[in-house]
Amino acid sequence: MDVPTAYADGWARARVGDKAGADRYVRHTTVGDPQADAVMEVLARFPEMAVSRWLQLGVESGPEALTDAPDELRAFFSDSRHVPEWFDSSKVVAGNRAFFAHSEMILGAFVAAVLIEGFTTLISKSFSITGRLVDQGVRRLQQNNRHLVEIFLPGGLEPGADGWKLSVRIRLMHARVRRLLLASPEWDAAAWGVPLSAAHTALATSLFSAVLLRRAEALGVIFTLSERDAFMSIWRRSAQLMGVAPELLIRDETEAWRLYEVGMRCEPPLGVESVQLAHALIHSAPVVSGITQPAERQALASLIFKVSRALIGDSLADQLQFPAQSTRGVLWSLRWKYRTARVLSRWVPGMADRRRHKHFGRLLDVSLYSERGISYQLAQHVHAEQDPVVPR
Amino acid sequence: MLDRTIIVGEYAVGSRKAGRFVLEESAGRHRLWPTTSGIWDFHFGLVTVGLLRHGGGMALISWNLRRENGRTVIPLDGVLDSVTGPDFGRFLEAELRVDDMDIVLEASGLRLISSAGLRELLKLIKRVTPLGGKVVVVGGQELVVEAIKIAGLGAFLLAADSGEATTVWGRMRRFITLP
Repeated sequence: MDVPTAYADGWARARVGDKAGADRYVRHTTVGDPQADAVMEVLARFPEMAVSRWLQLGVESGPEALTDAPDELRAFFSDSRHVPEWFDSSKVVAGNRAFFAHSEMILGAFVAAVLIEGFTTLISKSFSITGRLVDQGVRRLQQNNRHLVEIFLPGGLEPGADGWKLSVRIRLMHARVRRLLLASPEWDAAAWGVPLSAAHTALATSLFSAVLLRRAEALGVIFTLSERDAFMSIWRRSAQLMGVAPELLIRDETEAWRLYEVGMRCEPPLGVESVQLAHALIHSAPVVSGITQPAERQALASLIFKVSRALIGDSLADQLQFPAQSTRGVLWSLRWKYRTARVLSRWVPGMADRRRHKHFGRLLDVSLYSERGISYQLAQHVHAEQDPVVPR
Repeated sequence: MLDRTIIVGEYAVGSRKAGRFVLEESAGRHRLWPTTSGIWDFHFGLVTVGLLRHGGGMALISWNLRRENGRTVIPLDGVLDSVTGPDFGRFLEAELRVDDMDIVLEASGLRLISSAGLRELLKLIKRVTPLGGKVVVVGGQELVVEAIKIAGLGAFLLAADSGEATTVWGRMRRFITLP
């Protein structure tokens, strides 16, 4: 098996606990997304304007509208519209409700824990080299938030719905960035494998689903079993649309945790890029929240560092060079406040609705919207700052 | 002189770059223009019909409104999403009058709504509610109703959910300004 050098030590350690899982994970570090990669290979022959138009037509109108596009692209969109038998929008309403009922804490856990943990892996290499988080951190976070909102709205993953569109768009964007990075001298394939590999997209899915559930619980959220199952089902469908390899497509929380644990063991120790990205993310969050005063931004960033340290642990926080802070009572305090507010909202007439309404408004504020709709302009350069800015 | 212009949809013709249909209203007459970003324009003398390329092909959007018995009724069809949401917002901006305070959205034909669509509904609520008006969605399909409830907009938009308007608390809420 071809093992990228950066994974050698971690892979050997992970095999002790889960040989099959470790082998599967590392094998997929040298695999991208065969279908989407083949599409990008073909599209490379055409002008970018035609490519953007085809992608927009394919996503918005379906393969029938692609009368002059390559066959591979038509097949890609045709396959993307297929709904697997294990997914039914009407059966995941519990997950839809749970996300919006607890959106404040779920997004908090997403930024303060899940994204940070993802950046401690070689996922950080792609982001760091392309500058897609450092240069466009605010926009990236807003896009992430928008994606979450859309996939969790009822019907959001139906073919043609906005959650479906954004998931497919992410898959295409990943394929384009993968192609750009593979052609760049900055990417060391022998050491790091394939950029945005199948292993990494699967690891990200387990982070955004099972790990996110647990981190949100640490902040005070209580999920029912049906909510957890539905949450996982929604992420499984979105992951499938984003091109996660069938062999790594998690079916439930147990599988997601197994993948997370073996993946994190296989990954090499975090590097400078991980530190850079974690700090960039935390400093972007106040801006996304609409806070412009420097002192207030600093105060919120300091709080996020503290909460993040409490969630990810001192060892990881120290490696990420977070400010040294005591986390005594932080999580307990957050849980107490959150659960008290939830109980009150059940007893005070109208309060639950007002909370939902307020939180939904905040979700819209921290998400990316454009009067022009979704942009289908893909990355054209390895470095994000060289790409034309998409107007809002 | 043009009274107003609304972008009602987009189109693609073979391999030609996609353009937009622009509806222009002047002195009660309507013209539908497909534009190709200024390369060349031509004009059809069509009536108030918009063509929207969405979800599998050309689809007729049927935004219009009628005023009856003191209410303003707007049918919603298809989907209200990142493509149609902003256009719906522009339609409301162009069509609603200051005294359109009692708005009914007939949603029996509305299949899906995304956050972009909910955003427009929220804007509509914020426009009329502080002035004592109301917006009600009737006939919505299950996923649409669920989305509205999940977004915390049920109390404003769904007739059943706003039953508390008859309670003391509900009457008090009408005087609470939305954030």
